[in-house]
Order: sequence, then structure tokens, then C-alpha cells
Amino acid sequence: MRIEGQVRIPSGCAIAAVISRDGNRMPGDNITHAMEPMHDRSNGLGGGFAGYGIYPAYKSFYALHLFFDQRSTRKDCEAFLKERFEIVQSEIIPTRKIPRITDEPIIWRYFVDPLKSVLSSMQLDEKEFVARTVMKINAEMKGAYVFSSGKNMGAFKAVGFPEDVGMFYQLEKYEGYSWTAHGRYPTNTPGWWGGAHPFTLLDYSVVHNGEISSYDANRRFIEMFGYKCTLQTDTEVITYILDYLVRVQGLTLGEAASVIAAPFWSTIADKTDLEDRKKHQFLRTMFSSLLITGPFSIVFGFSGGLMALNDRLKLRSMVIGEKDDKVYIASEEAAIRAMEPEAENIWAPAGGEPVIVKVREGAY
Amino acid sequence: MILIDAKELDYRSLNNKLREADDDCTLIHCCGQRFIAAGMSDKSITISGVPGNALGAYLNGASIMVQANAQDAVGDTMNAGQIIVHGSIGDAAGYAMRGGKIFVKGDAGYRAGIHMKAYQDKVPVMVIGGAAGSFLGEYQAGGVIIVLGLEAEQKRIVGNFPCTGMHGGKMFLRSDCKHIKFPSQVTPHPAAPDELLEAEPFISEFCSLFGYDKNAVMDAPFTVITPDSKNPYKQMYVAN
Repeated sequence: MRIEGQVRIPSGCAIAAVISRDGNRMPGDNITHAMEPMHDRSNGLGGGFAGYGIYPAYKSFYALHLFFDQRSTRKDCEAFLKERFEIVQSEIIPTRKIPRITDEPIIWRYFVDPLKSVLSSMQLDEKEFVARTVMKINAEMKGAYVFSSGKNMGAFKAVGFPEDVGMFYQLEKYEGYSWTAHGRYPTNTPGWWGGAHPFTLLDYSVVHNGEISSYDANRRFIEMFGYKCTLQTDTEVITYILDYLVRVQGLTLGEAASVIAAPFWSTIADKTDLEDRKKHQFLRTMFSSLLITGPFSIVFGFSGGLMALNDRLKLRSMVIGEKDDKVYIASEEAAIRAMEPEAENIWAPAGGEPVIVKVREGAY
Repeated sequence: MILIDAKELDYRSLNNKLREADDDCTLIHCCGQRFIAAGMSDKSITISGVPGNALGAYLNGASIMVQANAQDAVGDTMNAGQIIVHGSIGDAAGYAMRGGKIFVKGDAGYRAGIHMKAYQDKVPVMVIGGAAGSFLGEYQAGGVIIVLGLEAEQKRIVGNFPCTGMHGGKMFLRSDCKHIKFPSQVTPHPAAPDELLEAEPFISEFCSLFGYDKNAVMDAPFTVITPDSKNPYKQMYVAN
């Protein structure tokens, strides 16, 4: 077999996303098709999707998606979950056996409600409690990984090409008002099930094309606040940074984008709007350890919306298009055309310029 | 003229079909196939749909016409020929290009003309009808980049940090560039009539390709930018 170097593998990760501003729910096969023209950007070592609005019947419960290495791990983990949650539904996530996806772990989902008695004794709000539980399982329970933990949303990921992963998880059977997708070409870290994108915490999810040079600086800072990076790849830290900035610190999405993809000091100094200049100076000073350097284009998913963002130097490609109530985001225009051949207003945001799309209030 | 339907074709079989063709080709239903016409020297290719990255990479004399937008790295390391795009293009167009011409009716993304170079009679030319993104002409070492800013009144003609690391070649921007910051190793100045003579034939070609009135396009202030030193790296070494 010839290895990389002897043979050129023209890859570089792929992301795509779609959202309906009117909250119309779309089956997951369209986003799966978006990944087909970008096939060569991935190398079969990871693919995944996040869908929002997919569990309307259980929308008031946290949907925990887990990988287990063996049955006994699942039993132990369930015992642990029962101490903290009321489990209203527990089931295997349905998959379709296909030859291109092999070696799957045990894949399970639980719809849960935190036990009020545990919440009050720990003096935590519900989201913080769920986030800490996820960290605890991922860091301490060998062979168990929570890869999705939000309400009315879910991540689906695997080792394989994204088109196959969508088929494996039968995404055509789910309907969401927004979807994100990722095809992986791991550069520095192993291609394993937990390392596929999206990386999620609560209802936040991140798909990422790129490579973070500042990973360890970011990791050391964010781990001071209880987050634990356990999934052996850089993107995970982006999810925790955004959770910290948006949920814990209460920043707006735009402000969080200005922290992680901060403009250069020279660009800030040239700003003529004094308020804006002061705000950027404050954010860079206050959260200097959360500046993410190196190439990235990401789509950040949350309940009711998406945010697309490039690194400040724009070292990765990303285009946006729209049609009627839908907005499309992808690494390549071809992926947008695969979802909607008649997409309009195709444009590329500048480096560090967040594009935030929200579903109309009350429509999700 | 040979018609090729690109639907269901991957980039390899698509390029094989192009190479096997003994006449000019029209591609339809193109959707993201990469490396189209890479290295080709003798054909004229018309594309409908969106071609993938590295369109016309190493192009060596062939002529490509795209009716829609093109993606990243158009004309990567191209040597001769021409690429005409009726829409806009993605990032890093003309990367390390050393000959031939690229004409784009719409906008260019980041890093257009990065590391363009020239050698003897090989002088690459890129004309962008709309606006260009940041880092235009990054590390430019040769060739001519022209940005016209047509139909882009609301936008700046170029983003941040144009000409970073530029040490050869020439850039013409159809603007007085009052609000644009250039690095210290280049000298932007209003283009004198005799300097504009160099850009004029390329602008004429652009106007006839896309149906603009050349006199109206030329009737605007132009800024010309060249590196100001024969040794731009001098400041990086200790003087002794």
C-alpha cells in the first residue's frame, strides 16, 4: 500500500449547514447530499452531523447520545445516570448496516430530566449540572463518551465519509429546522468515533475545518473553569470556549466571535467608531487566552440558530447563500448548489466576520 | 464542439474526458469537480455550473470560460493561457501564477495574486472587475494585478493588508486609495498617464469580454503600487 507522501491525498475537511429562518423542518438527507461534491476534502476518517428541532416529542428533556465500548460500560454508566437523572426514554440509536462503516461502538441515547433533589443539593442550575455530568463521564468513565447533550437536538458522528455516516444514522428519518455537517481529514490526531465532528456541549455544537495553533494555550485556560478536553482533537476546545463565553459569561455571539477571531491591534486602532474600538480593546484584554489562532472556518449551532465564522486571516474557505426562508453555509459553493441549485446571493464573509442566522422567534 | 455532462463524474474521469476530446469542449452540470483542465495547453473549454477548486491549475495555454462563479485557487501556478470568469471567485486566485491571464467580472476573495511572479517574457496578468478581499498581491514577486471596483460602490476596492510582502510586479487599483493602508515597503502613488498605458490593453480586453465602455472605466483615478526597493528583505538583517 502506498502511503500519504507517495500518493497525494487532496483533502482538507469540509463543513456545510442549512437553516430555515421560518423554522420549517427539513429531513437530514439533503445535508448529507451536500457533502457529496466535497467528498475529496475528507479521507474517510470522520464524518458527522448535528440536527436541531429533531426531537419535538421529547423537547423538554436533555437528549444524551453516548458511545460505549462494551455492554458492561453501558450498565455502569446507566447506574450512574440514574443517580442524577430521571431517564424517561432509553434506546439504541437506530443505524443501518453498510459495508463502509465498520467497528461501531454501542450507540445509545437517553432522554433525561435532572433530579431536582440532586440539583438543589449541588446548588447548580440545570445546564451547569448537565455540563458537569458530561465532563465527568467523558473524563472518568473509561469507554463511555457523551457526544451530544442538548435539548431537542442531536449529534450523529462516526468514522467514515460523511455521506456514508448520514446513511448509517438514517438521517432521512429526522427532521430539523437546522443542520450542520462535517467531513473530516484528521491531520494531527487519531481518526476515531469520539474525534469526529460535531463537538457538542448542551445545545451547542461546532463543526470545524482547520487546525488550531493556539490549542494548548486555549485548553490550559479553559480547563481552569471545569472543562476537560478528553476527545484528543483541537475542535473540542472551541465548543467549550463558546460555552464559557456565551452561556457562562453572557457575551453576545458577536462579542464571542470578536474574542476568538479578534481583529489585529492595528485594525482595532484604526477603528473610527470609538465605542467599538473600546469594546474590542476590552474583549482582547479580558479574554486574551481565548484568541484562537491558526486556520479555521466553523459553524456554531445553538437552539434557534447558527453562527458561521472564519479565522481573522481567513485561511479557510467559506461561502454563504440563500433561497427563500433558508440560509446555506459551506466550504464550497458546490455544496450549496447540491442542496439548492437555485441558491442566490452567494458571498464569502471576511475573516473574523461572524454571520449569525436565527430562526424567527416562536418558530422553533 | 464536444458536449460533456459532468453530472456523476468525479474530477479524474472528467479530466480524462477533456484530455481525450479532440475539439473544444463545453461542460454542463459542473458541481465542484477539482483541477478542471489542469496543465492543458490546446483547448477552449466553456463551463456551466460551478467548477471546483484549482480550476486551470498549471494551465499551459488552454482557454477556460466559466459562466458562473468559480471557487478557490483559480489558475494555481498557471503558466500560459487564459481563464475568464463571469461571476466571482474564491480565495487565493492565481497562486504562484507565472504567465497567462485571468479575467474576473465580479469580486475576488482573499489573497488574489498571492506570490504571482514573472520570468523573462512571462508576465502574468489578473484583472478583477469588482472588489478584492484582504491580502491582495501577498508576496507578489512579478506580474500585473488590476482591480477595477466596478459596481462595488458600497464596498472598499480592497480589504485589509494589501501588498503584504510584495517585492516585485505592479498593481493598479481604480481608486484614489485614500482610506487604504499599505505596508511600508511599497510605494502607492496616483498613476501618471504613461504608467496607465501599461494597464490599458488589459483593461480594454476586460471591457470587451464583459461589455463595459472602456472610456468610462478609464475615466477614474487609478493608484499604482510597486515595491520601493530592490532588496525588500534588507530591513530584516543587521546592517554591517
